Amino acid sequence: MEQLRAEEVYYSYQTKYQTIDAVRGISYSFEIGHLYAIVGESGSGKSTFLSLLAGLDLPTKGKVYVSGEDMAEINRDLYRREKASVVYQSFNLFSLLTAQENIMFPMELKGIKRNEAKLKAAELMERVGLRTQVLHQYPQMMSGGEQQRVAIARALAAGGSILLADEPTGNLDTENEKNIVRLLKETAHTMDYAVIVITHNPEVAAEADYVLRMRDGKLID
Amino acid sequence: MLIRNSIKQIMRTPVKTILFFLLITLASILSTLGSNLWRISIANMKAFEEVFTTIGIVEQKKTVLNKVESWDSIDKSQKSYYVSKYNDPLSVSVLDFEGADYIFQPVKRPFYGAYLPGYKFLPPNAFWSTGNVIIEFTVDEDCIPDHAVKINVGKQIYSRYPINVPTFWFCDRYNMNPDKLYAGKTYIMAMGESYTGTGIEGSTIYTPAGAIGSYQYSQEGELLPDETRDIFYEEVTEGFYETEHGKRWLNLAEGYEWPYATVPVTATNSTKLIIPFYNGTTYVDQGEDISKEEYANGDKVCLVPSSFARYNNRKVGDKLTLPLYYANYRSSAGRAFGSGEIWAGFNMLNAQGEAYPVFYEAEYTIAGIYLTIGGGNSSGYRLAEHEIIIPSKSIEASDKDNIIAYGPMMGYTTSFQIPNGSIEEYMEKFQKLGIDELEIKFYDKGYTELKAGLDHIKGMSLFLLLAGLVATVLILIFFCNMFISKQKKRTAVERSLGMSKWSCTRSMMHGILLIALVGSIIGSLAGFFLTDKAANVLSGNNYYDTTYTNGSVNNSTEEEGELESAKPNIALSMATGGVIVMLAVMLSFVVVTNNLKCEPLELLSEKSE
Repeated sequence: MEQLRAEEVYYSYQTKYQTIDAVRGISYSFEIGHLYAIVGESGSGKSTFLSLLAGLDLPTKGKVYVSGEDMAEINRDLYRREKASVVYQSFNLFSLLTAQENIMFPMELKGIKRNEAKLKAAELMERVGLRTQVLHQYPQMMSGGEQQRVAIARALAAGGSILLADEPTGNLDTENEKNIVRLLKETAHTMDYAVIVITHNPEVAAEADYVLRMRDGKLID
Repeated sequence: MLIRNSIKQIMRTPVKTILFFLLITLASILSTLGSNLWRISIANMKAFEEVFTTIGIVEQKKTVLNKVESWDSIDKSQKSYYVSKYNDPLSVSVLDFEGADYIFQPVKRPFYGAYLPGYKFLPPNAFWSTGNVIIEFTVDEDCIPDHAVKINVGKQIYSRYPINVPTFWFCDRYNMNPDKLYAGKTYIMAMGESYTGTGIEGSTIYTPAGAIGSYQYSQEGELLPDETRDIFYEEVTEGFYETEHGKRWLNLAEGYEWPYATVPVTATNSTKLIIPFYNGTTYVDQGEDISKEEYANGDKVCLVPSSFARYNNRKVGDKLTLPLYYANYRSSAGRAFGSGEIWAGFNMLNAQGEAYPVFYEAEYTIAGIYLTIGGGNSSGYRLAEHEIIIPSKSIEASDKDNIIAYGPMMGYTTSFQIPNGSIEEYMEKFQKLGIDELEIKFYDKGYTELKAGLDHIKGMSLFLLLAGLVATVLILIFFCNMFISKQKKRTAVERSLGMSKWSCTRSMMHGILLIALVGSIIGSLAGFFLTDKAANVLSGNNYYDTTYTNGSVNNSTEEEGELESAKPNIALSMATGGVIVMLAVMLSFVVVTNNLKCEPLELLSEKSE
């Protein structure tokens, strides 16, 4: 089932000295239940493409469709709040909130009551394989792998159908990398998410259902 | 949820938060203290403007030294001494120079004589204790009265008290060459008791007192010509009283009587221009002072002394008809009535040889009854025993034909009012005129010193206010940078989680604003109480006195008063706190807006493409 579709998407931006064409005519459909890996060299336009899929920006040309609706026409804040979540290489947890509070944050944003959100957070932590002791710890007290699991749990807490991950294993050791990739695969396959992962790592890409290669802002195969 | 999370996150950096709270509270205290002191100093300044008045008194200096020769027949000696005298009286108009910013123009204040025969005075006729008489007399033998000679009292033309003796001892004491008196002739003369000599058998010696000459002045201050001033006694012949001179002697008798029923009436443009009222030794005890409007409109209202009111059973609101018959431009009523100058300095005949007629009569309403503290002395600055005060403009007729005395400007006759605090400027301009003959003394009850103190407080409060506000801005910039600018990633995460820009703004601002709000409320209250303490201290220091600023008047009674300082205003304190909160809102909003300009993905992806 198609969740996200890019149709002849272009994105250019102006630097001080020149115009950069970061994305040049990408068309692709992402469906739930699959793990997608986007690979490419630095500067190939992967992260820009991901930000367009996350609705953090709009294409300068072409369209991105979400469940058939034009991204430009919908409330993109609502889209990120209810349908798509992003996970980053550097985890980007709220440093002054505990693991539990980080996970509860998107639920509270959606108006879910605190007690309900607490229960759901505990459930998600179990699902992503976190120890209960971590619940009340601040991010800086956790390992990288734990932080990324909290980040994924927070992404899942929103309860959408699209998970976008930008180099999610970039800061992790091999064991944690494997665990996170497994978690992402499970998320795609068992929780009906379309999971789109940007990675430089061929081992991560090898675990994906589909691999998209980018060069100079284009998909090359 | 937004507020809770925002506050939760800011509270989890307690050291920074407490420091921010303390500094913003301190800045708020400074600002509130500054704003309240500023307001208090302005309010005090305004109050002082209403309480204080600055008046100048003008005196023409004596610049001429005259040698005076005087013969005394009793001592048989020629006395000579030097007397410093005034040059010709300067017109008050010389003070009407460019740049002189008068509230009340300098005016040479006359006092008028009001003839009130039906009224009682206290003590009755106190100022006419000597009994001057006008009598016809004869001598038994030809004689020259260069020594005490016995004269036979004839017809009594005027005597306050019946003369029960047949003879007087008489000496033309101060005349070196008195006319010869012939036996068989009848003479007329006005005479009074001589104080320094007793005649044969211990009797009082009488000397000539006054004459039929007129001492009327023109409006310009010139003594009108009169050829009869040297006539002290004259022979009475058949039909003498039908002659011009004879009529003058009869008119003089009438003129002698009027002062016994005369009260002085001072016309002024403001009660404050009269020194005893200004320095508070005299004050309106019942009723009201004459108002500015009444002075300006020339309303028929007056202030009367309590003794006059009591002895004549008069109260506030009663009517009093004042028939004015002479104007004295030389002296104050206090000086003239207190020293007896009214008797010695002029007589009561005008240039036509008639008793001065009433030139203006009107019915006045008693607006207030005044009291004088202490007796004072005979200096010109005191008020006369029964002096009545009226607005100058209430007199609707000219006194030009009734001026019995004219002299130079004196401190007790000439005064003006200028704006408070402008003495220096006034004197600078006046001195440029180069009029050395005039001396101006100012009286401001210490306003100049108080104003300097208030200006100092005002400057200090402005400094505190500005320091407080600048400190507030610097503190806010520093902590906005710490709490917001350095939290760009937090905003980016919030954005990526689907929070709108407005929600992100609120999420960032709530915490910092809450601390700023609490800090400014506590700071404002503390500032308010501190200002209250300061205001109490100020109240204790706001003493004023009645000494002159650039001189002193001998008879001025120094007194002190205390002025209540304005109090701090709670609304202003809260408004100052409000300004601090507004500054916090504006600055944090600017910083958050700046945060939101950053692309979330750029901030959240550590690696670059």
